[in-house]
Amino acid sequence: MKAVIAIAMLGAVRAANASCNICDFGRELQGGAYLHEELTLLTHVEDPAATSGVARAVPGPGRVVDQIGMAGFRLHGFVGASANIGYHIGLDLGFGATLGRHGGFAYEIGFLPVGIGVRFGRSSWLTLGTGFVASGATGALDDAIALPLDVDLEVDASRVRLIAWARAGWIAGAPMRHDGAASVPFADELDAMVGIRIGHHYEDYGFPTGNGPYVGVAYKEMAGTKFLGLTLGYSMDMATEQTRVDHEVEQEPRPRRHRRHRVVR
Amino acid sequence: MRWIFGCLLAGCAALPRSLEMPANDETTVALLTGSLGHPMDGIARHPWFAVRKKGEKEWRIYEVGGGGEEGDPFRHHDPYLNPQVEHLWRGDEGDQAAACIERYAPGVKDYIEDHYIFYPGPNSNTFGDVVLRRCGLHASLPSTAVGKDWRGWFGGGVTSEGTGVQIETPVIGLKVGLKEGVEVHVIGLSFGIDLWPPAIIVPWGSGRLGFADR
Repeated sequence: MKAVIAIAMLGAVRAANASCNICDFGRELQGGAYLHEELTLLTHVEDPAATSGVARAVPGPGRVVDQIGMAGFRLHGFVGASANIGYHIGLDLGFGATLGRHGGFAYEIGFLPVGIGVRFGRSSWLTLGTGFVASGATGALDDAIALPLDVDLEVDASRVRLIAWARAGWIAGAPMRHDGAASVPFADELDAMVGIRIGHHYEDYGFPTGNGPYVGVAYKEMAGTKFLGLTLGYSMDMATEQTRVDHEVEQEPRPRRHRRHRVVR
Repeated sequence: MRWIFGCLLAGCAALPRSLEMPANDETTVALLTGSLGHPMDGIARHPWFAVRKKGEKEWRIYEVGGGGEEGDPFRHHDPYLNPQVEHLWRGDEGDQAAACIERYAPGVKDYIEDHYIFYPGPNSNTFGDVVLRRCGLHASLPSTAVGKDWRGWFGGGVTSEGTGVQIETPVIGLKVGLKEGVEVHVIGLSFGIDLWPPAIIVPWGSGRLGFADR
């Protein structure tokens, strides 16, 4: 009986140690996140007939959408034990309408659970993510699931912040949407936005954060049609304090002092 | 030109109501909102009702997460920033509004605080909308008051303004009305068009690109 109690206590101690390791790991987690609330209006600038580049595997039906208006948000973040690299995850949601011969309700839901985020500076980062994007428009665009490759770049310069992202997607199903982006012959659709945020950068809480409205140029290639438009939005970002762990400090060229954590400002 | 560009970017509403505290010669009820601390100051607001009976000096505050009496809730209501007057009821309207708020607001507040969920609701903005509807006070909260349209997993009915209808789920909702315009709600974020006063409804800044809602 004593042996059973001793084994149980040993197991409990080991479990406690393991959970303590998890706690340490939790304390060392760092990363960043952003939320963009935005309204995008796009109009067609080049029709399928005029689109040069790759030949479409499936003949398109001609331009089915003249304008697109979408409202929604992009919520992305990355987290890891390193000061500069983390695991990225993202959620995008947009609803709106298409206009043209076939006007209708449009939607886009993207979940990007796999990715990587690279942080440079206190709150600037480049992220790469993939997952799935479901999109469609009633009466205009067939519903489809896409495998996306999403690249986001955010560069902080205090009151001004560059916000840019691009996404290439490979469409499963919906043959009319295949090979619809001449600029990226390896993919079926392309979305991109480049914008400037004018707002604030705060350090009040002991970690970098910022917010402000932004305006950007939006671009889209879909079903052989090119769209160009405007994005108005509001962005908010925050990041943890950058704390370098042992191996990162050791890799620095001339460390002055060797200690477990070093806060980078 | 610079002001117009700034307005377009920041989501501003022209001709907002004055923050001057009204005289105490008649009963006054004010619906005010203030922004949360940064970095959420541009996307989230919190409402409170301020009630002052004729001749009194202090305002009685009704809100989720607070309450009590204050001297000037028009300019200072910690921890909220940038107060904004959404609506004022004075005279007979003020008397009726004050009586109704005193009767119903405490119960609504208790219920919301017991079931509080910061996002998507029910939260302090749900409290504001429920009290407006229950008391028949025709006003609406700004689009940045996320949670104002929380009606449970599926719900609908007449809007707080009283001239429209809305149908809501936590993911998507729609509000249509004469004074409300057309408003689409995407996971609690409001986008739309208000016909009078004319404005584009956005879920940031003051909630409007155009004229203030009066």
